[in-house]
Amino acid sequence: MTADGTNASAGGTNVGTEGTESNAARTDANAGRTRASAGRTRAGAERTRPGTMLFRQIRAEWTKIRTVRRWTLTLLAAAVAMVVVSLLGASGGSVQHAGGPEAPPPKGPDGKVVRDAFRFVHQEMRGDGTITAHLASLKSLVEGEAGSKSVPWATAGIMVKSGLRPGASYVALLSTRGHGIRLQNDFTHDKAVSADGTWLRLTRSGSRFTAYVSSDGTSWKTAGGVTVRGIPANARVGVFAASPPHTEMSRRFGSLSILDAPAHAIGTFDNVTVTGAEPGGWTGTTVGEPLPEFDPPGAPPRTPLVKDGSSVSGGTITVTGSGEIAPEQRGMDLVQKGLQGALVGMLVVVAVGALSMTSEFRHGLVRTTFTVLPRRGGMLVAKALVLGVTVFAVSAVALAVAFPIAQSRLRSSGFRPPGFPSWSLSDPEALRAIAGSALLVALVAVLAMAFGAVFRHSAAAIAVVLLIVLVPQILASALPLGASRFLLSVTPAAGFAVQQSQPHYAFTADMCLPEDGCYPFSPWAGLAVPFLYVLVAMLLAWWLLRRRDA
Amino acid sequence: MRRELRAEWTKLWTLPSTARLLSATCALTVLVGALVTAGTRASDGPQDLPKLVLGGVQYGQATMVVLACLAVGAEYGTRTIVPTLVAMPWRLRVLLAKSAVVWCVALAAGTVGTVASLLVGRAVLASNGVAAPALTDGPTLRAAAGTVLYLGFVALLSLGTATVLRDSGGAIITVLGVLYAVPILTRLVSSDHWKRRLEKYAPMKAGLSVQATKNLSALPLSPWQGLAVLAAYAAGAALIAALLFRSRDA
Repeated sequence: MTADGTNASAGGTNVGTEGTESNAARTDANAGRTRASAGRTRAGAERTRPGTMLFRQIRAEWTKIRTVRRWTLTLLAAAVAMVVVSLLGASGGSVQHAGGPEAPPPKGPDGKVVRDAFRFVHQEMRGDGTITAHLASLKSLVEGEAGSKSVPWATAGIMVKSGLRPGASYVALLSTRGHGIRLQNDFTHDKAVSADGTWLRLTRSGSRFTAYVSSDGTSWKTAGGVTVRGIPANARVGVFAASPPHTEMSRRFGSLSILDAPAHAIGTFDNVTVTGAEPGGWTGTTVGEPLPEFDPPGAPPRTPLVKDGSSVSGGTITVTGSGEIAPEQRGMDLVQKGLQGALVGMLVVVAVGALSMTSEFRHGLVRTTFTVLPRRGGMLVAKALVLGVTVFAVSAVALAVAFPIAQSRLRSSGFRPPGFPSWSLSDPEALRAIAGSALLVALVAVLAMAFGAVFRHSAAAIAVVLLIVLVPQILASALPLGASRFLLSVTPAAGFAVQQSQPHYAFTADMCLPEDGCYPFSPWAGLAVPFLYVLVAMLLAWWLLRRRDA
Repeated sequence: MRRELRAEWTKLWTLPSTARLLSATCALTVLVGALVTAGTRASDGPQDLPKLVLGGVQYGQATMVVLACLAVGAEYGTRTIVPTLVAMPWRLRVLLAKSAVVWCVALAAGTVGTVASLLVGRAVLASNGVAAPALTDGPTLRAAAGTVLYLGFVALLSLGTATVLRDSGGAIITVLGVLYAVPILTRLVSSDHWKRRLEKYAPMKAGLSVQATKNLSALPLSPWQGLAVLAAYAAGAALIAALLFRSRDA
């Protein structure tokens, strides 16, 4: 039995060898003559099949990277730097929890923390039905010195909500001051409606909600539909208004000043009709907590220009509301905060990457390398593979070690539930951020190697890589917002987007600031940018390696 | 000493990379300064305008670091250090001459970059309707002169580091790391105590406090004290470099 098995596998190996050798004979024009010795002896290296040569090149490059003690030490230093800086980034801060245990923030239908505050004038709707309203006017009112401004995300519209509890599932068709008409549901879903008009209609049929918009109240255009299963048969239906605070921001070399002023949206509705509703009048409710005041302590109490509220007179409903219906985005990204070491480790790894190529040229070793294994593209690929895999492994281990410690330090300094999410290694977002960061470090190392082949000079390669990877990060907090977002989307620094654990929702009033760790791209799309850089640099390096004498 | 100075000057000035790196330093300084200034409006309230206008040097210094590191590192990379020391065996004089040449070049580039930044910055501010400060008042002059000296000290720090490490790549990484990593770290550190400490003793943060013209009492260090911290770093690097350069084989 055993003998049979061994025989069979030996035979299999033979067949495989012959098969691949005949492949070699087909691909190599001259190999027919020397088939017997093809790929067998080291002297016949130029007859070696590409696969075997690549394997040898990989082994050669592995030996080079493994046996230069300086590089091993530098890689170790990079790992240590990643751990230490990640821990440093996670320590020292503290959060003040004002006066006793605070009320837990509302959670949306998917369990994420949300903001849910607005003024709602509602009645009960049983089963299927339709609400129609004409939004006669929508005003935005900002208190304080910025009184002449208006808030683009001041909204008023119609809504079907499963209850009055903040965080309850809902569908809303709303009009905004600066962003047109939108169909939103369950906090994270938002669709811009292309149709224009002041008449809004929302129809419920089971769990299907269809929105219509009209400019005259007679000819209706379908504006979209959503399916929401979380709304029970008995739902609240009505008109609402909400406005996030007015925010002005100025950024100068890392110093950020934000001016927040309370703001209200005033929506005036007429011709409000509800079919399928229980008989009974309108009820006005302020849903959720009002937004916290931003006045400095000790400032004289401000008398608000208007109070949130609502009035129903005849067929006209006026709703004055402040607040926001949106996913909670304020606060820092704790995952990112626990992985800051990647940036510093990257700095160190760039040196290893660039030197692994330039030292070949500096010491003339490249001539020996190409004499023994003459496929130049193969050498480039082998170097990239060995360097990339090594750096990835080292940084993945370092970051995976640093991450849980950093998170426990963050928790112990106050960044803990309910106000902040708790992250562990088993969360998919955390794993993605760790693996992605390690991949980013590896990509930058390979980029430095490829630039090393292009410039054949370590100083130039290192300087260029640092300039395009590191400097945008530093510039990001200094430049105007548009310029810094542009820089962070066209340079390899875009790859840091992979560290984000929470997506940014563009339809809220929150700004996406680079210093808060908000990048223009989604995690994997961001990582594609450095990957493209590596691809282009490798192609350029390959072309130049083949074209130039070594 | 004249021979050494002439030799070092010839070596530095006949490299095509020198002119390129120097113009890059000036261009980056002016360009970034102008970009940042462009976002300023009169409604932003009082700002430290000279500091804003001269802020580009934070990025212009990168190419100056490369130049200064190459001035020594390239000699080791190409082994011309051997004929250099054969021709001029007094090592301290060689190092001194190198430092003097690099320092002068850095000051020259710094002067051009600073004056151009101020002029461009004034034009940008004027087009935004912001009243720019006079070029000749005391604090602005101090900020301008301090920026030029800052660039000189950064060049000396790089030169010293490159002499110690005898490798341009490693030296560039080290110096840029020391300069740039600290501002990033200060962003991470949440403890105010450590933040202030980092700002006080980090070469870039401390050195750039020479650019401040307003709210001086709120700074961890006075402008000249800050520059002195950077000068101490440069002097320390130069001292270690001198000791090692004398005692080691080339």
